[in-house]
Amino acid sequence: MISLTERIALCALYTVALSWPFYVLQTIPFVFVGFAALSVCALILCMGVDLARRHRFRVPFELIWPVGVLCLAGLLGKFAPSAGWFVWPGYALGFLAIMHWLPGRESVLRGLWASVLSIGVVAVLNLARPWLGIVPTAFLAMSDARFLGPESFAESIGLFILGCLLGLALFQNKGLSTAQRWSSFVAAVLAVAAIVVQSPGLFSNGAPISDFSAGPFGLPAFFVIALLFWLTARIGAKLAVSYFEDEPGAALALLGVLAGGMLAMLVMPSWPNLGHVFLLAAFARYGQPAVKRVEPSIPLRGVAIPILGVVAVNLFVIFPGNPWDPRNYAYDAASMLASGQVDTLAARLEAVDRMQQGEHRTHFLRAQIRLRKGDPEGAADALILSLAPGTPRLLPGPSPKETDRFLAELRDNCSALPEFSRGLAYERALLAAGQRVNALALLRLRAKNTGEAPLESRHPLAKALAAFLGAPSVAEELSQWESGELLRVLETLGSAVDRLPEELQARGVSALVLTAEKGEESLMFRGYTNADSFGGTILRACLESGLPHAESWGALRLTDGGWECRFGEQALARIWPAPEVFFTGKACAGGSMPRYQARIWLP
Amino acid sequence: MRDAIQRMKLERRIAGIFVLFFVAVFILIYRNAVIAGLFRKLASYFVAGGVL
Repeated sequence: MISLTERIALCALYTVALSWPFYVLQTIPFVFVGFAALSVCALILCMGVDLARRHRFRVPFELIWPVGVLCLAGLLGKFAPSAGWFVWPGYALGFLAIMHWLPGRESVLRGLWASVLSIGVVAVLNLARPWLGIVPTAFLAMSDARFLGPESFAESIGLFILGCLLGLALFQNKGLSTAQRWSSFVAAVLAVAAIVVQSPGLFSNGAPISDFSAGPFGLPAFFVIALLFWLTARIGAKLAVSYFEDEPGAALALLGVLAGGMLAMLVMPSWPNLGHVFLLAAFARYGQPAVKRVEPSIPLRGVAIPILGVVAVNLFVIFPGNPWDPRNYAYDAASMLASGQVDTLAARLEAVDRMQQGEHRTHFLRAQIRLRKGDPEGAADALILSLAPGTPRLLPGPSPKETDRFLAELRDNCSALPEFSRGLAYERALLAAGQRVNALALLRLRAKNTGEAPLESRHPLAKALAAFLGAPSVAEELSQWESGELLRVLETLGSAVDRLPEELQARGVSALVLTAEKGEESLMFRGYTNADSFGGTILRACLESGLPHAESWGALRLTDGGWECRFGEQALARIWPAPEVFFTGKACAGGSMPRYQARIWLP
Repeated sequence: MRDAIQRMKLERRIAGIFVLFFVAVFILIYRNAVIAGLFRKLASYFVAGGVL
């Protein structure tokens, strides 16, 4: 008959064994703590109760002191980049609690078998992921490889290597039932398959498989690593001595798993996690002198069902409040933006876009990055993309409140600029956010009527301005403005005004506007007369030299074929008899070129 | 009791061999980063202490 504390501890023990291989997928929704972490907390509490009651600790001193030092080191300073003060002490106490509560060798093998089964399930999920349409949790911008479960490539590969080694170690152990041995073997094969399937992607584009860049290469972190090595070596030595002195059992196989796992960790490093703590504690318990007794146990089914239920939910639902799920990329974005890690964030967003095209939230975050970098026009472009209609994939697009907050930030940013370099970023963003009246009212504040433009020029000027605003639908409304007002707005954007040749006026052309707009990937030329509109786009990728400013564009001149204007070496606009734009195939690299340019001919 | 002490000694010896192996592999893989990390930090301690 086992006590309630022991029953709870056993339940927590097998929960850790079953849940750790699922990594982020075992996070309990709304609580956002993993089953493994909760179970370790329960084990530590139970250990406290047991120690107070029986005054007997089942962990040898040679393992207590390194763990105690690690606990103290964790309390004194952070060693892993993302670790809080509680992580290392938690691991240290967790190790002691798991080792304290593992009843003996039989339970160790059963716990390891449970872990191998879970690794097998994770491997199956990874293999079936493309067909099930599940979004992976480990991904990189440069790589085609994807993993489901762990947060990084190194952890994923480490998990499957451990699964393979453990599976084979259990398969050759005669102490387990035939079903347990063969299921371990199948899990090992599946773990190998999960790595092999992703291996072409892993090495594509020189993908980095290590995320150890902020590694423990200085003091005092190196001492902590050395201490971890000592602890592992001591556990390995226990297994080796156990093989020679006691009944051999699985000691040699487990020593092989420990050595293989350590080498994998050294080659593809990742910070330790609760799974590693569990495995180390299990190996340490197995290495202790064997005691012949009937070990208490509980059925695994009752523990496995809730874990699998939570995993099933996490496979398809990404909770915006979940800080552990890498698919919830917006969670870290705020802190990354605040700490100025904009390039890291941009790379992460690129990885998300590569993985899940049509994601709106990434554009919203990109808008914030660009605003931080002092590019309000780029920020407005990204905001417009984020507000485009469509179904959210991973995370919802920006809420109205978030959009308003961003618009206020953009307004402050734009209003700090002088009038002639302000551009149309804020107005375009307002239009995209559906605040048409505000956008046009704000634009009109800039438009002081100079009364210099004839009435007929209103339509081409309005169309040009509407095109710059990215909203051709407002052309009709803008054409209600005075032509002097429209001219003034275009002048603030960098326009040159010329006199329209009388020969062209005689052909029925009463106003002519030629514009060039630098986009992210292209340069767009447009032309508007009172009678017609025309235009064309040239990709910036094939552009070579800079486009001259509007003032120095070629003069409007009469040739054999009709009237035309040259945009430097890059493009030729034919206005009459057939309005169109020709490209010579090379144009500007866009570096120093202003976003908006217009040249206006009026009578 | 004597057996337990013998066992402990044996464990320590084997653990020593293992840990030397692990540290050697660690330094071999990350020699540049380890040496740079350790010496930069050590040098900064000496500078802070007025030795250098």
